[in-house]
Amino acid sequence: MTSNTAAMAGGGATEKIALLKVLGPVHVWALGVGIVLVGEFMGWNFSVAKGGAYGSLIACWVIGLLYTCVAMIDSEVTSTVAAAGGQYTQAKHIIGPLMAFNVGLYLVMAYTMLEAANALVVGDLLTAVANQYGHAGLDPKPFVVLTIAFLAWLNYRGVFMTLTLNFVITAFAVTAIAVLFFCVAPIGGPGLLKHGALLTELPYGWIGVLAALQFGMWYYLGIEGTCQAAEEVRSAGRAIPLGTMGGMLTLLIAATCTWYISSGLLPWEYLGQATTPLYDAARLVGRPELQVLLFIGTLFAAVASANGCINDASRAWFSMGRDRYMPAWFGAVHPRYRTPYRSIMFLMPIAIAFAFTGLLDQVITFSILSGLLGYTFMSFNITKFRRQWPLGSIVRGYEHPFHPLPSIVLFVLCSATYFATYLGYGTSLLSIMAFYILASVWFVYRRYPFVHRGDQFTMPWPRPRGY
Amino acid sequence: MDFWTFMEYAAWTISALLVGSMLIDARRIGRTYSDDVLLSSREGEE
Repeated sequence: MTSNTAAMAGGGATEKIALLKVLGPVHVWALGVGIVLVGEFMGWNFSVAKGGAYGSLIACWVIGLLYTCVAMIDSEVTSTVAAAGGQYTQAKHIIGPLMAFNVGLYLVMAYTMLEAANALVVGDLLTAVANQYGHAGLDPKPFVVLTIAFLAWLNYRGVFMTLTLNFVITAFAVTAIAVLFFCVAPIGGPGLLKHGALLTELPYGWIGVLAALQFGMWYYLGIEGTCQAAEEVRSAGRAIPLGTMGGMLTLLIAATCTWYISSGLLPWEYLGQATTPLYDAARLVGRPELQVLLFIGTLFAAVASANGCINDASRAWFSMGRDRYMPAWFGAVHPRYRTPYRSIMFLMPIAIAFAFTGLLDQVITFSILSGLLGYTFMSFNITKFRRQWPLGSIVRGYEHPFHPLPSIVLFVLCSATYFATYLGYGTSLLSIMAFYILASVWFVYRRYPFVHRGDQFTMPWPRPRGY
Repeated sequence: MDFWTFMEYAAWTISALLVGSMLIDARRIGRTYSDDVLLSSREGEE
């Protein structure tokens, strides 16, 4: 728990307000898995449309390898950088201010877009339920706004309550997948799965498998968000690696189970375009209670993801405001709730505006590409980190093995995924690149003059090797 | 008014109340504490 206390109202500025160090590894797990798990309930299955069921499985494991590298690299660097900005703060210390600005923007855009997409999913789910009960044409907009407003209010009121709730609903969603698995898998009996009849050859060959990589990211996109909790955990050196790597393990198992269940019940032609593949799989089992369980699991997964995204996007924006990369006004901490309340409120209408466009696939694509840019940065970041601060020069809570192999693998797989994305969303890819280039120009000429350059390096590290 | 129409209005109302409560609280905090205090958090400090 931080030793700082809120200053008296209108009093002198001798005491400081800071974020509260109240979180443990379980909260970090809940944050990471909570953001990601909605991808198991929907979205991953578009990889089946590109590469068939086997192509989707290959994408699941290849992208799983990409994200395992991300988790290992992030765990090492964040265990030494106990600050709210996560990868933004890492970039600031290891690469430089322009990279840091871009990474901060990647984080804010990726999580805000994902939050908007999750709110859209909640609205669509409720519309589908209303349709089923005879009310056609339910407007999803009020439910989209309510989802974002409620979760923003929760985040405003405190991080411990926010992530404890996230743990509960995420655990429920994980359990829903596990229950479905045990209901259909051939354990102690023949089971219900028909892999022999449903699995086919690669419908579009190996180019289809390559194209499937883009949607394989839905299984794991967002696990790197655990780093945003670094300033609010009781021990960053312990909680971040434990929560992140534990979360990655959970996701690898959940992703494989999801593929196994869905590909054994649904033909690939249907699976490749289904909106809610796990829910559809549960409907095929023919047990109403299972159907209800998966519906609630899908809803909880979307809410948990939006909740984690609000948490992470606001911390990244807050960190940039605190460093004056964005207006310093955003760097305020609530004196009672100890949350970055101005950043939380500022990003709320932005997320709602994106959600109101209704363009779920474009919003998701922007989020995926922003995330991909961040992962590419990580491969350079860890290489420079190890070179300038070798093992033994600073205390690391976790040291990832086989360096530089994970950073090389990460870079190669990111490159392959860029190509895969270009195959399907070339215009979006180029538009996003143009956006970040323009934003960088704005930063260099209009914001960097306000940055206190001497305050940028805050970590208690020795001089880097070679300086 | 059927159940779902009522739910739509309820969602708008609750959203407005939640957003309104945050705005009112933020305004109260802004008037009670100076920006020197609210912006006093520093990266890397306990």
